[in-house]
Amino acid sequence: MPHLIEVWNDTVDSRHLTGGIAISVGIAVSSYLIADHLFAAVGNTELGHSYALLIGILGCILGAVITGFLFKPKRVITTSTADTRDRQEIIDEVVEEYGELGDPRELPEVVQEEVRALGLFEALVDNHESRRTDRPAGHESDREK
Amino acid sequence: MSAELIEPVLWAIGMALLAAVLFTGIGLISGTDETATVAPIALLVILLGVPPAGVIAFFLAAVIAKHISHAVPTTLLGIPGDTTAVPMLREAQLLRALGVPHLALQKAISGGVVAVVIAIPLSIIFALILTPFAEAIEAVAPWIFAAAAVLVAYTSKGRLGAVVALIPFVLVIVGLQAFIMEQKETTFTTSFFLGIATGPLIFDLFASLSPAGRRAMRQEGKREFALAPDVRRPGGRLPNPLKVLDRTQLAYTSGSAAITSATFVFSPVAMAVLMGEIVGSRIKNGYRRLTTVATVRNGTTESTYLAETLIPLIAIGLPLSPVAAGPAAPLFNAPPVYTLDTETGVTNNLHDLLTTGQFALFAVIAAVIAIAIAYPFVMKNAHRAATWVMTSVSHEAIIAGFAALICVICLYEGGLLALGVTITVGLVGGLFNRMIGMHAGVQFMGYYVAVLTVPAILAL
Repeated sequence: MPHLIEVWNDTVDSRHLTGGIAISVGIAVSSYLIADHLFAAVGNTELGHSYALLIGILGCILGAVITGFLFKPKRVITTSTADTRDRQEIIDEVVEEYGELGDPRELPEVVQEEVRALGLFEALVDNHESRRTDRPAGHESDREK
Repeated sequence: MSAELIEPVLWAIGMALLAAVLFTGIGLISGTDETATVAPIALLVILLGVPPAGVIAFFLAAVIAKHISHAVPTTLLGIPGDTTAVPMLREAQLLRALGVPHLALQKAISGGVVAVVIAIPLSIIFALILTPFAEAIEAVAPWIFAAAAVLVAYTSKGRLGAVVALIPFVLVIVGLQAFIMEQKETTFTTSFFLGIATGPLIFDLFASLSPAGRRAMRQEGKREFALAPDVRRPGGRLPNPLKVLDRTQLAYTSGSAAITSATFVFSPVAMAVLMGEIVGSRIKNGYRRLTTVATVRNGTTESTYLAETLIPLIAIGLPLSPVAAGPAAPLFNAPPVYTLDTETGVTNNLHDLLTTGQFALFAVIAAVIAIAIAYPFVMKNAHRAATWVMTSVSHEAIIAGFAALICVICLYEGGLLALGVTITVGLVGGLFNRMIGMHAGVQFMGYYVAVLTVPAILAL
């Protein structure tokens, strides 16, 4: 894939991009200019100018839709089925990045229910317990931020 | 309801519906910046002659809907939906790592809904408080814009670089305006706005034309996106936003929405970061901090946008906030429909065309419609919609559509000269944005310095 480049935060094929812009600009600009000319010819300049803009916009949409049909996205989508690794390992990674996730048992009842419904309750309790036994002192403040 | 109000209300309902559907869709596409998408399309609506009721409802519904659906790519794909989604990205990514992206999504959009409900009445109250000072503010507006430009520049990523870069940027605009005046005996507005709003795109297109630029932009292969698995339980009723959030989250979201309804001169991203930090520092439990900060930050994106649009519109009529000068700029200044006379300070825009009561009415209509469309859609279809956008909507088509939109609007405003202006401002602005970290908000302030402050300095 020698023509893939990043434009405006996503990957495109530079040839497809050139083609797409040529199609859309071509359709939109010519439909605007023709419409503007026709409205002016029938003597309806002020309002006609606005209608020509509307027609030009429809041209933009048409051009973008045609481009979309011609050129497919350059993205690879992987739908990761739930991480197969050990749950504790994943939580450890999050803790590494963010700090202690805390003991869910100290949360108010409604929030505990929410954590239970997510299936995270036991895992968070285990993680909290293992951390407490690992580092008996000052474990709450040293991981903040 | 009086008879003469029926037509504006119908316009408001119709345009809010259109905006809600359109921008729920646009919000699903990651990286679609608010200024680059909302400003040109709102401008279009104005130029096509939609009455004021339809324009304000369209703009507000667009922003509210986009800031609900922007949470879909942010939480499910781990890439920010737009500029204001960046502050909640970290919390979203961590909750995604924990295997509960759907919870992050539900919390974020429920926070957004709650913030909208709080921000609309409060913004209107703050606007009423500010109204008596409007004349005094207008009298010193040129100097306020200069100070705001420096402040916004200094708080941008560019810091001092962005402040100093204001000088060449303002001079470019002053020079272009003088040349346009000489050629056409009028000035352009739209083509400058478009150039600033789409600057990074224009810069990238230029870079892709040069071999050196292309080398720097080259990608080794298709980009990979890991979509979080769909873990939501099938079926079930639509979750009530008040039930999705617990009482603490409700209180923090409401509180930060109330605070950010008053701080309308600061950038929405900065406020979202700040509110998240403040709330986060008050919550000890890590899990709860993650979900609450995500909720508050997305709520702030809604409240800042509503307040920063409504307060300057209702109270002053001049675009004196980062949102008003950016995404909402056309509501203040979109010649020939809405005008802002830079010499006399006389405005003829939504500020003059709608009463405060009408602003309130149309804001409520916009909010109800945008929430009624975006919230259930995102709650029910987030996963399917994200998959469809990523696999079916090519980035080429989006760029091609925007490139065509720029061309048509410029030709409409002033032919090839306007197109030249947009390309010039876009290239310079995009360069400053990418290389110096001077974002579009700073550049919009720079535009107002050029048209308001520079004449005032010359008149001294």
